[in-house]
Amino acid sequence: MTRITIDPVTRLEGHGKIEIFLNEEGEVENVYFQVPELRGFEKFCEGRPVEELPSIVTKICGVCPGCHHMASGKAVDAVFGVTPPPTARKIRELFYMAHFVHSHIAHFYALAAPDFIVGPMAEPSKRNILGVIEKVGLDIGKEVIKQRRIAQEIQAMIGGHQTHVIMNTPGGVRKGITPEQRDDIVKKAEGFIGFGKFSMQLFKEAVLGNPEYLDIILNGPYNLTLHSMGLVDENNHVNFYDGKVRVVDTTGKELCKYEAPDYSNYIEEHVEPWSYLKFPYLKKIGWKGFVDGNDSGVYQATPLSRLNAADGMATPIAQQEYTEMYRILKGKPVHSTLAMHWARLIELIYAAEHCYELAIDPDITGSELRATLSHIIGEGVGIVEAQRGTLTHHYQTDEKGMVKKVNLIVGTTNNHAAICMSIKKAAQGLIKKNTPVTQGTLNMIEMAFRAYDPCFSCATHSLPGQMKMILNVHDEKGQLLQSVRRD
Amino acid sequence: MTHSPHASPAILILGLGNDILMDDAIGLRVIDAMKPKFSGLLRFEKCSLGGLDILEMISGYDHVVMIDAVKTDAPPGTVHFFTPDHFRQTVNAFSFHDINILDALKVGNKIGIPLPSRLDIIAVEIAEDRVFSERMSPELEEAFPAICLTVEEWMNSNLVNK
Repeated sequence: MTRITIDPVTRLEGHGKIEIFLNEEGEVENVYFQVPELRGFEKFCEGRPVEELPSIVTKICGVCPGCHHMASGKAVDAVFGVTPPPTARKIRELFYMAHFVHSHIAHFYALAAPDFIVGPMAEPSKRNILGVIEKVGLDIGKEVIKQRRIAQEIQAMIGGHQTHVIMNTPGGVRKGITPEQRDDIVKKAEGFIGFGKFSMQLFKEAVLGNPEYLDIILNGPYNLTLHSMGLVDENNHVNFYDGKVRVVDTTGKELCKYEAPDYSNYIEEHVEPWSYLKFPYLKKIGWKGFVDGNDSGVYQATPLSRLNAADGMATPIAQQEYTEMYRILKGKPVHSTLAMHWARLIELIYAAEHCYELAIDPDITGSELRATLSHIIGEGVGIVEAQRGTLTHHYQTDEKGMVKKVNLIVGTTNNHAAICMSIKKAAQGLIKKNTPVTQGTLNMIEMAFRAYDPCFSCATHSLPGQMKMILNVHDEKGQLLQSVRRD
Repeated sequence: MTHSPHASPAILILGLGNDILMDDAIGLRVIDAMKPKFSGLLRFEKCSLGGLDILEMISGYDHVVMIDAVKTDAPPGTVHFFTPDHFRQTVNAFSFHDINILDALKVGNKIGIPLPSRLDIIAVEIAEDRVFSERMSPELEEAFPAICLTVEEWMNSNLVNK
């Protein structure tokens, strides 16, 4: 058996690592995606007052701190048995829409666009945000940085800090929004809508208008037929902050719809000896292995899954784009991994529109910021949609609200099995007998992974001086046939 | 985060890290230790950001010194002194939500964000950064006084008494 390793050696113990095993015929036999997980969060939280957790969890991840803060805030509300008043809930949602705008802009331009606008087979030195700016022009590059910064300014204004958010308190938020701040946010939200529409237009011209790229989306080795999960409101429209978790099967038929406290009746986690990260699956179907199809227990929770699981978008322009996407991709649900980028842009438009709706809502400058607390229930589950999937925070406390137990299912964890399968499918489609593996092949395999916008250890970083990526191909006797390096 | 233009030369000492991920706090801890020693002479900030977000923090300064964690083969507590020329890439490239600091600087230069003309990176070897803890590892706690002395001497020679 031949082994190919894609190993970005960013620190000695490894980061995410992709191991591809070929058989004697030179075809891909199996693929393993290994993640060294951050350890001990549950233990770290034990004994702490539960109301501390919304601020602590922002440090799990430096890129989606707002998501953890929201899920945690909702779990803490439940521990205290309270519901935030309308103004508080809308302030939370307004922050959250800005958070989605910032994150989705970053992902599209820094991570997705290089593949499509510069090209998946382009030289690595060009296949990055600098290459995108070269192609689209400086003015657009400046606009990307500007819109992202504006979204973070809103986060800081409402959340107390752009990264280490402190806004949530049991039953509500710590401070309100002044009329002047509201007016400022309204103008900024109008800018988000404009930029969202522009980004979609760019995608349509650069990607959908390019037959080669459209072919990759529709017919490339990136299709995976799995169930779809997402949070929906009472109209079954996509909602990032609240609602019920809905799962539809591979044909679009509803499998289940549950409220946060019931999550453990529907989701279970499978463990493999070769990975620290668990593999959630649908409990009622059961774990059938790393297989797709309607009988599989594996599901996806991604921007595309959210759109698949819903009946539509709650804002008009996003709804138009939603309808058009499914028309062009010939029906619903869509199972093309790369369509996640398209779905992400539809979500960007929704987040922008909903940011505007919330900003002009008369309640947003209200003064009722917090529910009255009475007694401690002792257990709470908060679920939101993180940019990269359904995020669940589950806390158990004693009668004084001191944490006894914490369980998190983060967005990317939902997709762990699907990511492994997507990488395998891409590898099987791209690595053939006697075909040398090139940098372009390496990148096209990574495209299967990047579409999920995975989040594993964003909060940490170090400087080894050089990021190595090594792909070694061995024959069935273990002899090195080929080595591809990215220096 | 935005800030007003500074008196020239404007120097920022920027500690990077996560204070609940064990040794990843080293950059932040060094800032806390250095700030009282150079009070009134240098500006100190702490952050847990990367890539494009760093541009906002360092824009407008003439000289920025970043203090961060690193993990190579050297013993924990070793202090390295780098400039961007030492790197072709950094690990931040492997964050799937952001770009590495070097590409961020290139983006900033390309689109005309005022960036420091000089960037120094003080990188401290760590033992563990994947475990949640508010204390650093025993190795790094033990090495901390020596780390601070080394950094202090460098700052005196390169920033204050030059």
